[in-house]
Amino acid sequence: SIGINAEYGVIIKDDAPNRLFFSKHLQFLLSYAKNQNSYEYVMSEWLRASGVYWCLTALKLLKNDDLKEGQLYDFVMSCYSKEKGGFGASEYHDPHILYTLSAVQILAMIDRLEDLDVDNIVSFITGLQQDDGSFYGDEWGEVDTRFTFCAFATLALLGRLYDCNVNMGVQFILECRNFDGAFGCVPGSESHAGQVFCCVGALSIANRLHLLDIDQLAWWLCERQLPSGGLNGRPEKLPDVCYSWWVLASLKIIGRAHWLDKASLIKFILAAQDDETGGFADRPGDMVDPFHTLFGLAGLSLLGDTCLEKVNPVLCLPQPLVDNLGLKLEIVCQRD
Amino acid sequence: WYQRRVRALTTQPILDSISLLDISEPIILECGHLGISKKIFKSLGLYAHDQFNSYSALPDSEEKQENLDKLSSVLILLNPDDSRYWCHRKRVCRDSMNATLLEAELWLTSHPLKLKPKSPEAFSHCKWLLRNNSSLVTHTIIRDQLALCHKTAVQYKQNYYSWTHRIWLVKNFRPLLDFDRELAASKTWIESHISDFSGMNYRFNLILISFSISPDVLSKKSMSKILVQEIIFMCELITFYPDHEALWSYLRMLFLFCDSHKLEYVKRCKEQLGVIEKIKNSYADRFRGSLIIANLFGISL
Repeated sequence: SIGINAEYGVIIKDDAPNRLFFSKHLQFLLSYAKNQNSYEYVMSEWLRASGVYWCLTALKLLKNDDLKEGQLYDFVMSCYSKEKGGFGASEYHDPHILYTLSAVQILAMIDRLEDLDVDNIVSFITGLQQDDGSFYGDEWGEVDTRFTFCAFATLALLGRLYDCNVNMGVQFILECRNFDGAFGCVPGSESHAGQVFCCVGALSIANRLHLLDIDQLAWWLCERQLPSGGLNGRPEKLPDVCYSWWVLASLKIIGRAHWLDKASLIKFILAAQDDETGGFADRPGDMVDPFHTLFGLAGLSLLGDTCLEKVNPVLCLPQPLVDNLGLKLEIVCQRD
Repeated sequence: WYQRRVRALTTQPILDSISLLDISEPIILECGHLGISKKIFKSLGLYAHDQFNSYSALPDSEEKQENLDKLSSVLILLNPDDSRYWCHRKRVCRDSMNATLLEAELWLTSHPLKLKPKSPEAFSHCKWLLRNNSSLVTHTIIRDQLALCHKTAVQYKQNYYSWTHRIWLVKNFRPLLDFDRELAASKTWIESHISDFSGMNYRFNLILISFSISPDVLSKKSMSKILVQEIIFMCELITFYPDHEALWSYLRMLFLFCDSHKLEYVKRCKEQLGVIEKIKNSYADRFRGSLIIANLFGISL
């Protein structure tokens, strides 16, 4: 039956990678922008700022500082629209709240936040908030709880969270809560682990985690774990390494990460590595990419891998950086 | 110039599907199915991307606009995730729109979805078009949009953007569609897609909307009656297909809704719930999903 196939769909082979290929991942990440004429690189220009954020954060988790900060700064500022106050994914791309967060995250990691026209960026973000508390992604008016997270996170990094209407932002998030306790992208939308992370993260930043039914949400999140140890995003979907972040970080924030089977999750994540090229794929055997590499490493860090830098579960940035910025993000204490 | 564009678009053949193939010829068109060579698709994508950047850098002119418009209409197919092309088209549409152009633009937007049924930008563009030209939206347009949702949901299992779009259509253009037909169709969908929780969430939304549009204020008794029917429906499906986590998840959602609204259901489906309890117990070790979900029921039978 289909149900059984979905549950047992991923079987980890005996010869699958079972240890962290630290230096291979460094190699993979440092070669990200090597072939700028490749089809994949050109056709992913529309997410470049996020791509750079994924690579840089992953490298930081691997405790590497090889990337040239000057080049990173120049790239990020080429994405900046002084007129609008936001950042696009790349030069000539219109500003969007997603890439504004990525840009600010990158600048935080290279310690260049002070060079920003913070007021301008803040007004770009607050200008996107609607009467019902939701945030547009850009001038074209798409609404999504991801954008609420991006808004709160960016403003928090700039120390200006309360420049937006946090109460209304929180109200909108609660409108997107479903009866299973999890969250969708807009009111009524299906519960999705990615959206859950964004909502839980936003509530953490706003210091409103008490508004959650924590045990109910934690239960739904733990149902994402499949026999292979991997995590999916919704019922009957295949496991995907990126959910090692969305689900695990959410559980960490609400203090229930210990409800998961840690050993089998680690096994799944490690199996998704490519031992030749380095990098992580969405699941064992598939093609690797920087996105899954970051979230694989971040997941392993949250699970306690001591080779890796500690990662903050709300902002997906190195924890020491978050500490230095003086950001106190609400995390519920672990409790049975 | 707009007339020429519309004519060019409307004389294109109706396409049923678009696929990328490992073929030597650049393009094959057979009975409404378009096949594009993977190699050509990639080189065309790079070329068009380059051309778009080149034209964008030029000073404004009618020729520049015409070329950007042509390129964007192709690039939304070659690289549908890149919002740049969709933004360009929105700017053009914003400046001039009428019923014919709206239909042409919606038709054009359906192409990337034939290749990539879960393209969020394409669905987002549809919403933008409908939202900003609501006075031009007709029954036919909504019918076509619902058909588009159906098609993309068939092509890609648990298509999140497709189902989110469908909910949005019903919430925003309900007078232009046959609500009862949607409700009936949602039941048929579930019966033949028992792993697809997205379809179940959609039906749940429809049920909630039906509560809110009732001419009289719906009493707890009648809401309860409808939900009991739904619970029985799920119990029946679970009896036949006990291994499907989606069914258990939907059943749970129904219970949680009833509990939070203090709606009576236990007595009315006692028999069905008894069967479910037995299934839950017999599958306890085998199927983790149903065990976890069923544990949350907390029903006293």
